[in-house]
Amino acid sequence: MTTATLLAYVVAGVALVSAAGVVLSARTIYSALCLVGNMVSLAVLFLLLNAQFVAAVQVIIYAGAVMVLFVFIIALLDPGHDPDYEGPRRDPRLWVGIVAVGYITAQVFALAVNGTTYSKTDHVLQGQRLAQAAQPSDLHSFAFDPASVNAAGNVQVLGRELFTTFLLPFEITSLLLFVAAIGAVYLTRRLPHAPGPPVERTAPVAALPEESAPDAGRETVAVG
Amino acid sequence: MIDIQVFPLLLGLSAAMFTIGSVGVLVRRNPLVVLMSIELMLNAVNLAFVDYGRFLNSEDGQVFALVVIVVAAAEAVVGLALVSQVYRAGRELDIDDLSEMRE
Amino acid sequence: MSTTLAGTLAVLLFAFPLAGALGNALLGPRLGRRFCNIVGPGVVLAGFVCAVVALVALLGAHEDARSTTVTLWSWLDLGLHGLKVNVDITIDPLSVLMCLVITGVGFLIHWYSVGYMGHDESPWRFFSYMNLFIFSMLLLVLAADLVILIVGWAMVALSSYLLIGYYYDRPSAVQAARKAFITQVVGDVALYLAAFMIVTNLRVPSLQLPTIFAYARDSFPQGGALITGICVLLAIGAFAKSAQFPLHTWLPDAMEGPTPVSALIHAATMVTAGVYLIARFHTLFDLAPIAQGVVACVGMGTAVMAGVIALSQIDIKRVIAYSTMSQIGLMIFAVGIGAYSAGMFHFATHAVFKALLFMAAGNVIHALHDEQDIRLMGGLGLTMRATERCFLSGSLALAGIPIFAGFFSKEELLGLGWLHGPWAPTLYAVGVGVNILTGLYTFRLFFTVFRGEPVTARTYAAHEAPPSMLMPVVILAIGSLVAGIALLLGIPGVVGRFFLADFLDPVFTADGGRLLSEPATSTAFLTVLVGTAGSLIGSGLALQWWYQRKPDAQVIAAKVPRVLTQLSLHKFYFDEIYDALLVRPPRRLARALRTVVEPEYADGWVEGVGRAAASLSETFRMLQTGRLRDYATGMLVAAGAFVVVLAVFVR
Repeated sequence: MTTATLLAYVVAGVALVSAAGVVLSARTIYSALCLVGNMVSLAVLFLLLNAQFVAAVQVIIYAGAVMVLFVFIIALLDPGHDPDYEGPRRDPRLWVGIVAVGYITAQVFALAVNGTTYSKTDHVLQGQRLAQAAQPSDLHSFAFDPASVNAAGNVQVLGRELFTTFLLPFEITSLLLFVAAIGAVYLTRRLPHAPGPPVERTAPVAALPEESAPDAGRETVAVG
Repeated sequence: MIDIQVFPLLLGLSAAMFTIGSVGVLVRRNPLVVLMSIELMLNAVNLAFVDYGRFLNSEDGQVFALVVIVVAAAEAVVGLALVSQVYRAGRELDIDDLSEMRE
Repeated sequence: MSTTLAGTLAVLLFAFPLAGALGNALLGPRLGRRFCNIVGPGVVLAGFVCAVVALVALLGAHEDARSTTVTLWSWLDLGLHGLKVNVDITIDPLSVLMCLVITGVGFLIHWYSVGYMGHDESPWRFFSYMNLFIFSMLLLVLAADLVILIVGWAMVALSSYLLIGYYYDRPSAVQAARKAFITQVVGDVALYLAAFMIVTNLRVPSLQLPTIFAYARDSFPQGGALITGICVLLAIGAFAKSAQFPLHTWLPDAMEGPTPVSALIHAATMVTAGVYLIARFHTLFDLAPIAQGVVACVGMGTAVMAGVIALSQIDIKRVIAYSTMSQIGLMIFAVGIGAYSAGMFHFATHAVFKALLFMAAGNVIHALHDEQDIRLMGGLGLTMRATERCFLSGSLALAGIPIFAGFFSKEELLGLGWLHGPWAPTLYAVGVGVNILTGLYTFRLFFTVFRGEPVTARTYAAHEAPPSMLMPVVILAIGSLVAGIALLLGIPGVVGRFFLADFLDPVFTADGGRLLSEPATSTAFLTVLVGTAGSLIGSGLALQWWYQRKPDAQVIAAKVPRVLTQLSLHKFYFDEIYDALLVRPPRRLARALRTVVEPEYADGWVEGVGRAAASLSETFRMLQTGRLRDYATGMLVAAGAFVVVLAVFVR
């Protein structure tokens, strides 16, 4: 067992524990922190799997941007009363959940080990065998041999894939992000007749002065 | 270099994370935790993609993982916008109480 | 010239106007008018200094080593067919001449704008657009890569659009801006098509212009159909930018913009970009004689048509606009027959005296409080002596009276036309006709505006323009007096004879191009004599009809066939024809679709689909509990079922 494999086992353990923490934590902020831990350990696993770019994106986008957004919303909303506050520990559903997780994981692990996808005898994956049997042109994407990937670099190879084979999905993804951005702006706009938040919960916010109104006024004059 | 024995291990981890996430979606009532559980499920899928990609000598898994990350980001943004709007409308943050979309 | 120096100069030439555009846009509103008045012209002056440095460096270099192409950075590397797009710039006599005119005349116009736009509410917007225009124009002329050239080409159209529509609260200005932009886009599309044809047919490794030219010379046969097509498309692009027939209708309307804009964009620089384009692509045009013929004929035709129209217009700026169109027609004619240096020479002198005429007209308009109708002017020579003198200097240059700038450039151009090009003698004769027309409309304008009896009381109240508006005009007036002499005959000790031609010709011969043979001295003398006689006849007739009024112009107009006067008055009915051909049919079609096709045929389907969906969803509504948990369970169960199916059936 190499050092990398050992590290993979340890980090996988951390990922599993933190994943459980996301669901089991009583406080929302603990869930978020557990999720950050989970994502960072996944990033380590990605590094071990030779997916350097995905690892970087995982840290930057997920742990960096998305989770900061989560923590920000948690801090902003500060749900004083959590509907789950009494804790899921007494919940009988918890045991159902644990059984389900254990069962499904065991099944997948068994399938993976026992040859559906992975052959223990000659240590190859079924997919590789398929790829070798088929014409290389049919399975173009299996043509990446590790040597060339290592020579060109992970980012370059990924970039070429994204901009050639997967150009259309890539463009559609950008459209999705665009729509999501518009959607977020649309959803969070202030409706003219929407009832404001209840006074007792947002008293400190309401006491703040109007959003820099004089500033806005000056700008209008300057532009005109 | 990583051993091929890690492949089933990580696939199992992925399955476990996915199941834990789905349990979270089903059990928890706080919409923020539900969103985080969905992120967990998406992460599990990413892990499976990258895992397969690594052991099949293919970059496609990583490409899919990138796309999934983008989808997750979009989902988080819209989901959080909805949560904040629900909160602003003066509602309790309890997902079981939110069923007006039916009407 | 070293690559380092060329690269530095190009970066500086780009950086100054761009910094000005951004600075005026971002800081202008905070720092106020004074800031804009300094930064706006200042950055252009800095650009002019860079252009002068480039000129000095070029003159210091050997004649054959004056063209430097520098790759600033690699922009796109498509990798697939090895196609590369670099930000390449070229410093050679042609681009430096353009830069000198753009920044030099541009600076004077910016300076003038300080006074002219003195009461404007948002000088930062104005100067920001103007600097953006200078930047785009420099990008266009310095580009050594087809894509970068197209970027500059499109950006000048954008800044022209912004500036024509500067008074955006005036519907006519907005309309004119839109018209200009759309017409330009027609030309842009032709240019893009030409670029696509070049790329697909030549299989060039990069879009660098020297590479394209080298490949074109090797692979296109002389006069082949393909190269002719490419050149005609390029020429259409040039026609749209330079307001040549049949894409000329936008230029008179563009006079809705502020007068400095008309001087800068619609007289001195942007409209001559078409001339520059053809001169820059001379290698391709030399391969396509038919396309050259088309260019020459269109240029001369536009020159005549615009001259005829200019005779009857009553808006001071429109008269000058039509004269611009006519003069650019001559330049286009010159580059069409292969007289590239002569075309660029006329471009340089024209930039000087036409900017002068516009700015002097701007002074008049300013003094009369935005009056542009020349029938309400007259006698302004009494109150605005300096402006009158300057305008006269510009008019003499425009009409081609000897020793003024226009004389040298126009006669050189026509003299070469006598020997070369399609139907050379015919086109030369037409050119002499254009000379007569030029003299007529130029002095009609001058005498109507500055001589005769004042028509309104406002004339007496008119004041001479303030120094900031007068100084640039005076400088240009001196320029229009000496530019021709200096550039053609030379000034002993400073510039030699035929300076400009000697300076530019290496550009056009470097890649195997041939220069036009000079006419023999006697022939040259004769052509100049006839051409000058044309100019003098035109000017003399104008003097008689509009100044001495014996016989009066009205009498003459009555004798001219009615068809001709009507054509002139209605600008050859181009607006009406385009409206009937291009605007009304689609509008009618749209109306027919809306009133007939949509309610009768489309709505039934669309509403049927809607109704079906509604009734279906009524049924499915029972499944909806509105609880997230139920939906999630459903999804997970379905996913699980899918996995089971896969596990059982796919082995």
